[in-house]
Amino acid sequence: MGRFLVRRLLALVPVLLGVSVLVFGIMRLIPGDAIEIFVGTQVGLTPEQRQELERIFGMDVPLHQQYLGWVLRVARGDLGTSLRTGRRVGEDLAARFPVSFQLAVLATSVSVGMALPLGVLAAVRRGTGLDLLIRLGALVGLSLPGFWLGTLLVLVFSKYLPVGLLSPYVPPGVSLSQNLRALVLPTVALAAPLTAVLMRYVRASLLEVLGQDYIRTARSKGLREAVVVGRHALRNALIPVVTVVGIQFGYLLGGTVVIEEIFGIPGMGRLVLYAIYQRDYPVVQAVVLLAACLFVLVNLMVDVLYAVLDPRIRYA
Amino acid sequence: MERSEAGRRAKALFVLSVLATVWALGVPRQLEAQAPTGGVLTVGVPGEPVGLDPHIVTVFSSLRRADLLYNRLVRYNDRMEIVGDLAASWEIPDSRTYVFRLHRGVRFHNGRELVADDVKYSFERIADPATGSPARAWLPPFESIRVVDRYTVEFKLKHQLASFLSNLTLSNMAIVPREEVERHGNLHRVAAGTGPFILDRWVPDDHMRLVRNPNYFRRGLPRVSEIILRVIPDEASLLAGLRAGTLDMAHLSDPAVIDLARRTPGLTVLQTPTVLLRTFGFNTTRPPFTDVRVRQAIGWALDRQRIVELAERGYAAVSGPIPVSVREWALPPSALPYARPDRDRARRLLADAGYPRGLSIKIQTSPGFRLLPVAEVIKDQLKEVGITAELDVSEWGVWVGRWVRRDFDSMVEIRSGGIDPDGFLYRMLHSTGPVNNFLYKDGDLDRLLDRGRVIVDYARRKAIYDEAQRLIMERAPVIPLYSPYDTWAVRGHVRGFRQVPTTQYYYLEEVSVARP
Repeated sequence: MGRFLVRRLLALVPVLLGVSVLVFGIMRLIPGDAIEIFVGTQVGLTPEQRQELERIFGMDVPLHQQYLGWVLRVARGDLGTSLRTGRRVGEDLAARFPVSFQLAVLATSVSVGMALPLGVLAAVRRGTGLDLLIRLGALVGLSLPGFWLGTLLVLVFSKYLPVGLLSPYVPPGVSLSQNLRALVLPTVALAAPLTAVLMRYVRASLLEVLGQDYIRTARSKGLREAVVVGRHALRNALIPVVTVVGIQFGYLLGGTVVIEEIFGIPGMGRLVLYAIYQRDYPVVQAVVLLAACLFVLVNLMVDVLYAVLDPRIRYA
Repeated sequence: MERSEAGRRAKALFVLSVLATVWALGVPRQLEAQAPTGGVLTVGVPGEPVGLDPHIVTVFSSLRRADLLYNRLVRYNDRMEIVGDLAASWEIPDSRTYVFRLHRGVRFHNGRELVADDVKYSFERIADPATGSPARAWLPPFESIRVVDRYTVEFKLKHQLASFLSNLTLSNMAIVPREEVERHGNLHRVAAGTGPFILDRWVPDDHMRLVRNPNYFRRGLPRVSEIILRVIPDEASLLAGLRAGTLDMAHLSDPAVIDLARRTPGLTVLQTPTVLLRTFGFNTTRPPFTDVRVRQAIGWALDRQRIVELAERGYAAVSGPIPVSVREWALPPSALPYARPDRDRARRLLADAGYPRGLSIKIQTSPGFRLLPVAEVIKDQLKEVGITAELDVSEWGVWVGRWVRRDFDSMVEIRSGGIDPDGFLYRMLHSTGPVNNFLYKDGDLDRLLDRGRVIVDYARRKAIYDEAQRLIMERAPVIPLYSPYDTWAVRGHVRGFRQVPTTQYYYLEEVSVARP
């Protein structure tokens, strides 16, 4: 297991290098010029001023040198300075990441907490009206785009149900109750589609397992149905579910651009959104790298979790 | 003190000094015997400051902090008259010489008294290219800045710049103490001004706590003991904060949120037109906009009041080439062409120009800064005179690139550019103007703008800019549309706030809170 972890962690290096080339290249290929956007349309820029800005932004050297310089600095832990705000990118990430992390944990917990019992219920009561109802709910949840659900929630809770759920985001250290209140709606908006997907996985996977021979054996031993489903079936059915949860969680950790924007949550999604608008290269590059890193790490954790769930899986 | 009248006489007679002292020192009358002094004022603002050095920052949020931490020599009052700030009075003995007499006993937050040498140092710092100050562009080259005595400083300009006094009101023109700059390198993280409030705590992306300056030179001010500037980028959240009582007042700009604020009991919405200008401009080197008749036809086709209602929900004032809020100079839209739409006239002009059956044009636009809704309303209105407008929508960065390269046919923009008409119009429409992206070249207009730049006498200058405004409207390289409102939502217990069209925050020093 130890060697497996080391190998997988080493594999991070080429992945991150590839991501770094991609994000560096794409940011410079898309139309729009960082200096032009920085200066805006109310100032006529002289060539000398432009050169000065290029020097300040480190754009006065060829692209491959810019890339190498950036990668080497990142390797030393220096993510650079935002072109837009002049703040250290590392500081910005340190401030924004916990926000996205909290939201990701909340949304994932809620969706797992809802999807597991509902999925199990639907599988056990397969073909009944309850199963149909749950599956219908899942279909609705799947079909609602997050941006639409989010906007609808804002509308409903500002106009028709002003119960204070649209309060501004505050860090949990300032007031945990206000913090949680502000995150209720974004959590719902994120968790709804996740729950729907997960629930369908739980149901399908459990149904498959319930048809296996060892389940019949367990039943014929006279075990109670709750034990059969809870201990023998569910544990085996969880492997594909864990995979999906892992991918979704990794995705959420990178920040959720749309939901954060709709609810004004100062997470990584908003950070990168505004950075893209402004062609704030160092910020975009750092966020994407961090997101890629987290994604790989979460998937590694998922692989480890497989072994915990299924003793037959061993890594050497 | 009416600055316009006094100023006119001062300049004409070369002697009279403006007695701003009374105004500057006295507690404004309407505030007396109102709510008691003290208390905490929590203000919701949309943006986090990038830095605090008043000479260097360009970002709105940083400049607004500087308004509270520093003073300038002069400032605009809420009627857009130039009045004294640190200057108790000033003289303009000739059009290249400005003499300022400072208030005595003004103290920096570090305790030292402000003297004429600080003024000299501050302007030398702004003018030094190494400082990288955006304000440098607003200053004329100086022949000399001379300390006449401890409280008097004299500027000699190399050549006349009639907008000099007005430019001194910009937030970048703060007077700073040399020793603090030298100790810290710059003033981005320290606040060492003379302003009504002292920086106490700065929690990035969250809030800034400013406490009352007990030695502030305007006696009795500021009225509150503490201001918390809370950064909330999302406008709906600003409103939620006002409703929940966690904010006392908030700076708003989203029309939908302003609508909601107006319907919220207990909230007062204050609005005034800003010194910004929304424009619809043409690339005058590209057909069909090379033909003045086409441009005029568009001017007559547009119903600007309707654009304000549809694109800004009414929260703007129709304006001529100089923003209406700059009352001293702006001609009211009713006194200029296109005051009311005249679609028959527009059709006739198009027919004269060779388009009896209408024509097609392109409007390059982008979703940012509410350019798109304005362009959509324009497109709709132009249809009525037979002009088919195609909206060419691009992402913000792409749009800015087209602006820089003048690669467009027509564009909706939001314009800023100082308050004095010289700063505003010269840059935008002189053939050498740096932001004349209309590529407009007009000898008549150039001559007017050149003269307006150097003539200091108000009456003569006013005549020049009146003519320039008419000329711009008639020849229509750009159709001025409106000045958007600056909007504050204020709760009932907040008293005495005055807005300035420049959107500067310094009148927060007069605000008091009377909590029930």
